[in-house]
Amino acid sequence: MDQQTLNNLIKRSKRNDQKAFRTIVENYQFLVYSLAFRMLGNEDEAKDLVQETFIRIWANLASFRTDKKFSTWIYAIATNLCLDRLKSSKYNSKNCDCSETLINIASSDNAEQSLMNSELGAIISTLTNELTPKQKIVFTLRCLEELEIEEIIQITGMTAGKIKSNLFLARQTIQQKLEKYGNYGK
Amino acid sequence: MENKDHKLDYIISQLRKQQPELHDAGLLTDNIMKQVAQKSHQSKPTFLIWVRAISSSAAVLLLGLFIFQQTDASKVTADTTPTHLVERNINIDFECAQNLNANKSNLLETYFCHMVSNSIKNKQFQSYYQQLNN
Repeated sequence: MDQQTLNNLIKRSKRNDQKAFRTIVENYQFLVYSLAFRMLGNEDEAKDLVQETFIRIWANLASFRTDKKFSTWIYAIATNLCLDRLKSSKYNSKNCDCSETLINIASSDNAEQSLMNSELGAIISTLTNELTPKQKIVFTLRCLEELEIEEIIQITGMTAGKIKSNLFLARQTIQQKLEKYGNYGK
Repeated sequence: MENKDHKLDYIISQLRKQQPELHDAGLLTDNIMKQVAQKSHQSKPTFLIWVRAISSSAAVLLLGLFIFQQTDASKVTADTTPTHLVERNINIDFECAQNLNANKSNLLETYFCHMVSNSIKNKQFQSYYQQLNN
């Protein structure tokens, strides 16, 4: 979707045009879903978060300035909601016995193999369940969503130094976790 | 150490390639739009917000005007003591004349000043008349 079309859709949505907002939802729901799934490791929770994010977007659309990047704004809302869930006592990331899948994914012979959502969710949860919410956010945004540091600064409000230190600690924790599985990737 | 880093990067890159599948994307969109419609229905129309703001301002303005009028009327009533009024009357007329000289363009103000002084004069004559009759 080009910028002009997007700006037009945002403008119409601000005037309560639900058709225009539907187009926005159709175009951006996967972006939010992907982030939520990688953060929460669960399909249902991720879908729930997508709904919550778009309701919030609809409610706060008037405050969005078109000179800013729309996807960054969406990421910021979704990230805040993820952070709330990760901090809440209800959320508990589970460990699972996914060593075989992990060894498969690490093996170059199976590089093109696609995982089921449940397997992928289990692996992500297992690898990241010892990270703090902030480390998890930074790791997901930088390593899995491949966002630039500058964009992560805008999304999280953290400084570049803080982002880098959180990322370093996250990688270290994951590496220690992987070592528990023995000679992964051999 | 480098080997470990390399392996970690490799696993991360493999995880990155594995995009989670979104089943029933259409259903998810429908659910979002249902909630959006509910939310829009619940929210108050903009014109009602404007009406509320305008009527509140008008109420405050009217209340202010009422208080001002009451204060002004009480001043006039307080000035109706006979001996004091003679001097007051002269003063007001003098003030009006001064006003006229100083600011000839503001005729409305001068007119209003004369109106006030006339009203005091009337009250003064009334009180004298009553005193004479008594």
